[in-house]
Amino acid sequence: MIAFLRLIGMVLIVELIFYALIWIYIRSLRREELEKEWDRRHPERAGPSPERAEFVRRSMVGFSKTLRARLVGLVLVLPVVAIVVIIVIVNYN
Amino acid sequence: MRWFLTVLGVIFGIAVFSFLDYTLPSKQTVRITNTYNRLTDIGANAFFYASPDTGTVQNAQGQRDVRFIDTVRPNGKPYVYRNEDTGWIWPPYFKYDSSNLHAQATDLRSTAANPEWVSVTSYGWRIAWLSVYPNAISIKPVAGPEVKPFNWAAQIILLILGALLFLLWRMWNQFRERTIDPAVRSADAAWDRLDARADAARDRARGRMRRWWDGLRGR
Repeated sequence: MIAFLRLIGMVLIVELIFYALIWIYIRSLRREELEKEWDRRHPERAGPSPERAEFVRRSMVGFSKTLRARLVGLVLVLPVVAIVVIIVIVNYN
Repeated sequence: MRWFLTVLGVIFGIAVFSFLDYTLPSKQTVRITNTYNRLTDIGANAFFYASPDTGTVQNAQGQRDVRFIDTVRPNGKPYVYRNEDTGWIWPPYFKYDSSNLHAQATDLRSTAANPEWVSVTSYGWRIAWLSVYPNAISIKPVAGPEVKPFNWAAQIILLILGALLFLLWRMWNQFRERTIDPAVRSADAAWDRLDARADAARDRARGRMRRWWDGLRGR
């Protein structure tokens, strides 16, 4: 039983580390995309500026509600599904 | 320094390869000749057996009652598997049906005169001089000794590991491009500003010195 709890704990820790990393990563991708969008719309004011930072900040407001951001939650589900599949294949086949 | 890094890289490569070779499942077509339990001394080779808290009973002398499966390969050479539960952590096979597997293996025993071939999935190595045995995971009957089922499980795991590695690489590149490089650039810029200010201060001071010196000489 202790071993099983240890498995749950370790899987959870690894999942949360990956969740945080991927969360930071996709936010960074989106911000880069928005900066490029600003540069394309305002070729004469391209490059870092307070206006561009403000534009990116306002565009990022609803980001955590988008489908892409919610799909990061799969990181918490897929490893558990994989473990269940392995248990079934190894023990009940 | 270069040769040192090369040696380090080669050792790392061998370690990764051995780790995968030991942990990933492998399949082999064999003929089962015998199944039994044997009190087994577990000493320095304990690393290659299940960890003690997986249900295997260990007596005071450090011996365990381990299940074994004797087999013969198509080329006539013997190969021996152990049949142990793996427990919940490592390696992640989560196998707890060794009794069922043993019943199945016993059922599939055959003789050289009337062979019955099976494909055994296992992980681990057979090292005779260390008494190390691979752990059998599953047994499937096959038509003959030349039938070798494709090892899907290992290929899928390798693909997933490769995809994970690729993702980590992309994440690191993004982090470097968006966080480390700008920080280095702004530190460079700050240093340049500091440098320019120091230069200007030096020029001013030199001008003052020069004026003072010139004044001293009555110009």
